[in-house]
This record gives sequence, structure tokens and C-alpha cells, in this order.
Amino acid sequence: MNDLKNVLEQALADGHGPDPALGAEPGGDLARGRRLLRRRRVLGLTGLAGGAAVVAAVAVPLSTGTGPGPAPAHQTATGIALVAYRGAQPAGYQVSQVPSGWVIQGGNAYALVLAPQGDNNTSINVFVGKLVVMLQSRDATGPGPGKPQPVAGRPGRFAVQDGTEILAYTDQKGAQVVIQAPTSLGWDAARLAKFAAGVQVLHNAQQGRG
Amino acid sequence: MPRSPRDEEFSVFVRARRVELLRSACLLTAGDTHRAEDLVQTALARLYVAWPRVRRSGTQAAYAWRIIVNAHLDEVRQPRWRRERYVPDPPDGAGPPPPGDLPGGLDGGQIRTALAALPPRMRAAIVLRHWLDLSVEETASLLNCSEGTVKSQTAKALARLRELLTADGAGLTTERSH
Repeated sequence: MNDLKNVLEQALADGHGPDPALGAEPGGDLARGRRLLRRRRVLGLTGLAGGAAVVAAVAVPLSTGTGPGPAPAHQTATGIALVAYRGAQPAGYQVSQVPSGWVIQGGNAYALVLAPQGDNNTSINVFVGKLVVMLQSRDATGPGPGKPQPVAGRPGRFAVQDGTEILAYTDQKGAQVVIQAPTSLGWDAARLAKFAAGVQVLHNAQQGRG
Repeated sequence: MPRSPRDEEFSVFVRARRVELLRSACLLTAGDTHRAEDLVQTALARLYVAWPRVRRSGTQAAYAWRIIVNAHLDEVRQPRWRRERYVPDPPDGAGPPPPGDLPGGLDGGQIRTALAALPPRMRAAIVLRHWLDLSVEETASLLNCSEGTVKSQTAKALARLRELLTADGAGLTTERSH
């Protein structure tokens, strides 16, 4: 009688699986990991937001342009003020407020992208210096980094990683939402949570990968 | 290049777990070592990127496995990766059997052919449940399906393997009953 585990072990014989007694040198994996991290930082895809929209993002030429950074129309002690938004909303997500002087640059089922008006980089697949709303990656695990920061009374966590603020929270429908914002907005966790409270995830929004 | 704490911790993980990940990925790919290596490299690169938050939650191996399984299933959904085919019977052996046959006369090639004949999700269910010893709940989470689906896929996969590997279907046993 063949125990299934023994049968599977046999499938790895005669060169079709590594010897379990062998060690593994991490050099190659370390180099590949560093390269991927650099690429994602250039694209603004680090941290919790790393996986979402990455499929689309890697298909475009890399660009580090972050736009002209126009002077905000309304600056407060906690950064650029939020103003009501009544313009067009792309598929996937809706917002009720935007940073003063910012516009919705575009979006799809994977991400909603906001940028300063007149931003030079108009690709919605480049997130550097932009405010991005997305669902948490399908591959994400655990509660995420940072300190607790509720959004409209629902649980969330706020962290700052590599010059990017990240707010991950559960919305009123139970969706796991991630918002990343550049520190150049000057927002604290509460201001970002206030923006998040005006975000609505629509039925056609989809999770990214990675 | 100077090594950061992330580099050091990641290197320790790779030294400890890479071979195990690769062996399991080889089963997932039914013995295709090149595809298995691709899957593991992809998973470890993504794990490095996500390292700070994944390490805090202590789920490094689970994270790597989730990526391996998802990448594997994504690949086999695409026609260019469809190398597996159903076969009515394992191919006849050519020449003398290699050393290390199982007592029942099975060799690695027969087993890999039988594994390749399983649909990818069934094969993944077998590997997760009976090679990695994951629970039904953990397997369902990784395969993004219900626990009932895991049970039925595993049962069908075992029945199919028995058909393929034994003449009378009685030579393959598993100690797991849940």
C-alpha cells in the first residue's frame, strides 16, 4: 500500500525536485526582490498598495515625473483642504471630496487616481505623487502595518512608508479599501480618514494582485 | 551593496524555506522544474517587497504560498501554458524501470504523468492538503473557494489518481479523513 505522501515524494525523484538536504543561497532571490522593490518605488506601488493595478502599471514606460506641483488653492494647518466634488466619476469608485486644486485624473476597476490639476504625468498607471483609491490586493495578508485609524467609525490602519501615507480600512459594505496619498498633501491620518469617509466602492471595483 | 535588516531577515527565510517551497511547487507543476523555479522566484521577489508588513504578521510562508498557487492557476488558465492533458492510462514504461520504484511498481515518471492528468485546481488541492498538510479551511482560503469545494476536489483527485496509478484502485491510501 502506498501512502499518498510517499507517492508524491517519489514524483520528486530522478531530478524532478531539489534534494531536501541541499541548502539555498539567497543571492539571486535577494537581487530579484531588490529590483522589484526599486521598480515599484519608481511607480509608486510600494506598501499595501503594491499589488493593485500592477498588471496595468508594468505595461507602460517607467516615468518618475511627478507633475508641476501647482500651489494649492487652499492650504490649512493640516495640509491641502478638502472641497466637495460634483464632477464626473469613473467606473469602480466615487468620491464626494477632493483636495483643493486636485482633479480626478482617471480610473478603472482597479484604482481611482487623483492628481494636482495640470500634473505633467497623466498616466493613471503611475501613482507617484498622486492620491489613489483601490481595493486591497488579493494577495495581501494580515491586518497591515501602522496605527489604528477609524474611518467613519469602521476599523482602519494608517502608516507612512517611503514618503507615502497609506490608509487601509473596511468600508460600510465590508470591502477592504486602501488609499495611498503623497506626504506632499500635508495630511495627517484624520484628514486622510475624512477623505476616505467620502469614498464609495462600486460593485464593479476589483482587487489587484501581488 | 550594504545589507539592510530586511535583507538579513529575508535571506534567513530563503535559506530555511526555499527548497521546501521549490519541492512543493514541483508537485504543483507535475514535475516541471523550470515552471516551478519561475513560480518560486516570483513569489520570493514579491515577498521581499512585502516583507515589512508580512513579517509583522508572521505569515511569510503563507504569503509565498498564496502567490505560488495564484500564479500557477493564472498561468494554466492561459492557453500557452496548457501543457497538461488528460490521458486514459499512464504511458507504458520504456526499458528497465529506474531504481527507487515504489513497492507497487510505480516510478516517478508514472506519478508525474498521473499528476499532470489532474486539472490544475485538483492537483493544487492534493498538494496543499496532502503534501503541505494544510487544513480544509487553509486550503479553501488559498484556492479562493469554499471548504466544500476543497473536499470534493480532493476526493475526486484521489479517485482519479487511484484510477491512473493502480490497476484495481486499491493501492493508494491516505491517512487524512477530513
